[in-house]
Amino acid sequence: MLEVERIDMFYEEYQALKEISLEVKEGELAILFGPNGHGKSTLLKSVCGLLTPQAGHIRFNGEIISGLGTHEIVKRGLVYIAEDKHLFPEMTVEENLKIGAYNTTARRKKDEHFAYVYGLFPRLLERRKRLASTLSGGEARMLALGRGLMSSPSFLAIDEPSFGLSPLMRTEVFRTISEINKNHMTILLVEQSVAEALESGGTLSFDMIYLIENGQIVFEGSKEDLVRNDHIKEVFLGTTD
Amino acid sequence: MGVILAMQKEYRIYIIMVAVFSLLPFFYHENRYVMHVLILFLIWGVVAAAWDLILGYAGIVSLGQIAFFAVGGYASGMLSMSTGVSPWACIAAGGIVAGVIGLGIGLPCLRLRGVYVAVVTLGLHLVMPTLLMRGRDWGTGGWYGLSNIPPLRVSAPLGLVPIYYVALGMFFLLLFFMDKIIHSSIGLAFVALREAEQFAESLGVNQYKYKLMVFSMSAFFTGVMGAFYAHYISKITPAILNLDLFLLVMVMVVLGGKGRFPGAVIGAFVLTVLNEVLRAAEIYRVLVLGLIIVLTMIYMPNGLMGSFELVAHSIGRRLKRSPVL
Amino acid sequence: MGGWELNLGMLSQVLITGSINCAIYAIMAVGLTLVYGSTRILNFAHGSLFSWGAYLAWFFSVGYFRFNYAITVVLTIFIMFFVGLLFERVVSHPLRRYPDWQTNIIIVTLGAALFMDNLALVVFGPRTKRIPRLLEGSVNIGNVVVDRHDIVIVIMAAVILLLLGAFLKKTWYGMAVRAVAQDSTGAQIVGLHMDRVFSGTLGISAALAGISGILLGPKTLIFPSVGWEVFAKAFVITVLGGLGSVKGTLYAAIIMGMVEVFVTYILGAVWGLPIFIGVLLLVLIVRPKGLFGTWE
Repeated sequence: MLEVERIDMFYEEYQALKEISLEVKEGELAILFGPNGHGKSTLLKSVCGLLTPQAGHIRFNGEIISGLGTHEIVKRGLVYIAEDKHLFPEMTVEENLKIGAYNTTARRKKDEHFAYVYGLFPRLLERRKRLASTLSGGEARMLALGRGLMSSPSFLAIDEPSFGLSPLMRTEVFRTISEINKNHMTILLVEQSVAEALESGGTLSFDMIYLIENGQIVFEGSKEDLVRNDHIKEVFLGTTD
Repeated sequence: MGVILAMQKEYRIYIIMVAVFSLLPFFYHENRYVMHVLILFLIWGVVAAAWDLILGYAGIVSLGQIAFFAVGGYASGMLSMSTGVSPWACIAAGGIVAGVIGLGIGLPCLRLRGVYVAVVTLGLHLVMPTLLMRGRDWGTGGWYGLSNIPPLRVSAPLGLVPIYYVALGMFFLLLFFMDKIIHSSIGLAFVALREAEQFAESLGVNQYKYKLMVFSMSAFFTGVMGAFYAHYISKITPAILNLDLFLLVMVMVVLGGKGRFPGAVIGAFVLTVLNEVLRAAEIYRVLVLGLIIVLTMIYMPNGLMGSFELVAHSIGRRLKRSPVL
Repeated sequence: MGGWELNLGMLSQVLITGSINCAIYAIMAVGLTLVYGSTRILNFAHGSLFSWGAYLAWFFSVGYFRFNYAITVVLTIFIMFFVGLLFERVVSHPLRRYPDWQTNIIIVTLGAALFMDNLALVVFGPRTKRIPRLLEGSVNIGNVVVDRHDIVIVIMAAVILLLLGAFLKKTWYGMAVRAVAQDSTGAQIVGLHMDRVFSGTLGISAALAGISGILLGPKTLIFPSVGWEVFAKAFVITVLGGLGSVKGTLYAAIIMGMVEVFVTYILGAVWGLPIFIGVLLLVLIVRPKGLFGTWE
C-alpha cells in the first residue's frame, strides 16, 4: 500500500535520510524502530507531506504522493499522528475531533466516525466539552489518535504514541492500536523503545519490523527474523535471548 | 596563503573604487548639479548601508533610520548654532546623540518580536515631526526648522569639491567599518541566525547583545551622515521626515539587495539617479517606488546584488566546465 | 442640582461617544488580529484598506455613481474582500517560500500601503472627500443628543461582530481559520488547505477594514493617508488584547474606546493618539503578550 523508494532527505547540508526504502502492505502493522535523531520522524513527515524528499519517490496505492501537499495526502487516506500531537488548545475535545473530519469524504461520515472514536476512547466522550489544553498526557494522545481517525484514513502513520506515558497507559495505547489495525487499518508505527514495545505482553502483534540507524534501514523482517538475529538483538535489546 | 590573496583582492576593489571616485571631480567640477547628486549619493549610500546592516544582517525591521538621520542633523545643527563649536565636532556629537537614542530605543524593544520593533520605530518616525514642530522653544526652529547652519570649514567654508572629498572620505571610512563588522564574528553570528535561528541560539549566540550593538552603531552612522547633510545644505526642516526620503532609502536597500553587502550602496546609486529622473513625474513617484518594493520582494528578493551573485556563480561554473581552462 | 444633572448628561454623552469608538475600533482591530493569528502577517496595509473602503463608498454613492447606501456597502465589501484574496495569492503566497519572509512581509505590506495610498491620490485626486451619512439628524435619548448615524454605526458593528463570531464558531471554514491560528502544523496534519485559509482570512480582514472605512467615513474627511491613525490605534488594541486573540482584541477595543473618550474629554482632543502610544509602551514593558495573547 505504501512504498517508499530510495528517498533522500536533507536539512540544509545535513542528510537525514539516505536512500531509504520501505514497504507496508495493506492491512499490515509495521514498526519502525530507531534511536532518537536517526530519521524516524523525518521519514514519517516525508510520507505525510510535511516534508518533501530531495530524491526518490513515495507511492501510496500505486500513486506517487511525494511532493504533494499534506491536504492532498490526507484526502487520499494517509493520516499522520504526530509525536507532538499538535492539538488545538483552545478548542474542545469535540471540536478537535470534528475538525479532523474536515475533508469532504470524512465530513459525510462524520457521525459514523464520532461513534467509532468515542467507542474506542470512552474517556474522550466523557471529556468532550473540555478544552484540549486541559487534558492529561494520555488523554491528549487519545485525542490525537482519535482526531486522525476522524479523517477517514485507510493508513495511519503514528509517531511514538507511547512517549512519556506510564507503563499501564502504554499497554493501553498499543492494545488500541492493535485493535484499530485489526479493523482493516494499515499502520506504520514509529517507536523508540524497542524492548518495551516488544515486551508489552504481546498486545502488539506486528507483521514487519524495520530498524533505522543514521538515516538508513539496517534491518527489515518479521518478529521471528528479529529473534533469530543475535546481532540486532544484542544491539537493540541488550540481550541475546 | 589563500587568506592573504583574498584579503588583497578585497582591498584591491576598495582601492579601485576610491581611485575612480576621487577622479570624478576632475571631470565634473564645473557641473554643480552633478557634484551635488554625487554628494547625495555618498550620503544616502551610508544611510542605506547602515539600514541594511540591521535589516539585512541583524534581521531587525527598524523603520526609524530616517528619524536617526534627522536626530543627527538637528542635534548637530542646534549645537553648532547655539554654541560656537566647530561643525566637525558637532557632526561627531550629532552621531553620538543618535547612537544614544538608538541604544535607548533598542534596550526595551530588541527583546521583543520583530513586529513590535517595526511599529515602535515607525511610531518614532511619525511622532518626530510633531515633536520638532512643537519644540520651537527648545531651539528646533519649529515648522521652519534650522537655517543658516554653519558650514564645514578649514579656515574658510569648504567649497563644493572639497565637500565632495570629505563626503567621499566619510563614505569609505564608514563603509569600511561596516564591512569589517559584517565579516567579523558578529557578522557571521548574524548570518548564522538568519539561516538557522534555533540552531545558532543553541550554540549560545547572544542575539540581544549583538543586536543592540549593531542597532546603536547603525544609528550612530546614520546620525553622523544626517549631521553632515545639515551642515552641507545649511538647513534642516521637519520635511526631512516626509514619506519621500523614507521610501527612497527603503527602496535603495530592498532593490540593492538586503543582507548582501554592498547591495544597499548599489541601490543607493541606482535610486539617486532614478529619483532625479522621476522628479518629472512627481505624482507617480511614490506609486513607482512602492511598486518596486513589492515586485522586488516577490521576484527578486535578494535584489540586484543577489542577481549579480547568481550570474557570477553561473559564469564561474561555466568557466570551470570549459575545456580551455 | 443643575450641576449634577449636567454631569450625568455629560457622562452619558461621553459613554455613547465612547461606544461608537469601541465599535469602529473593534471591527478594525479584529481584522488585524485575525490575519496575524492565522498568517503571522502584521498587515501594514490595513490602514490603506480602510482608506480605500471609504473612497470606494464615496465613489459609489457620490463621486461617480449614485447608488443607494445598501448597494454601496455591498459593492464595497465585495471589492475589498477580493482585494484581500488577491493580495494573499499574488504577494504574500510567493513570499512564504523564502526563509526570512517575516521580515520581508513587513516591508512588502508597507510598500503596498504606500502604493495604495498614492494610487488613491492619483485616481481620486488630492481634494478631500465627504460621504453623506446614512441617516441625517439626531435623536434625543433622555437628555443626550445622539446622531442617528452613530446609532447605525453601533448597530451595524454589533451585527457584523456577531456574524463574525458565529462564522468562526459554527461554520467549517471558520473552524479552519481558528485551527490555523492555534496550531498551523496541526492544521496541516488534519488536512486543511492552508493557502485557502490564508486567502480567505485576508479577504475577511480587508472587508472588515473596508466596513470600518464606510462606517467612519461620513464622520471625517477622507484623504489618502486617513487610515494611518486608525491603523495605529487598531495595532495598539491588538497588542493590548494579545496578537492573534479575537476575544482579547474585543475586550481591548472596549477598554481603549472608553479610555480614549474619557481622556479626550478631560484633557482635550489632542491627547487621543498619545494615550494610545502611552498604553502601547506600557503593555510592551509590563506584559508584551497582552491580555490574552500567547507567546509561541
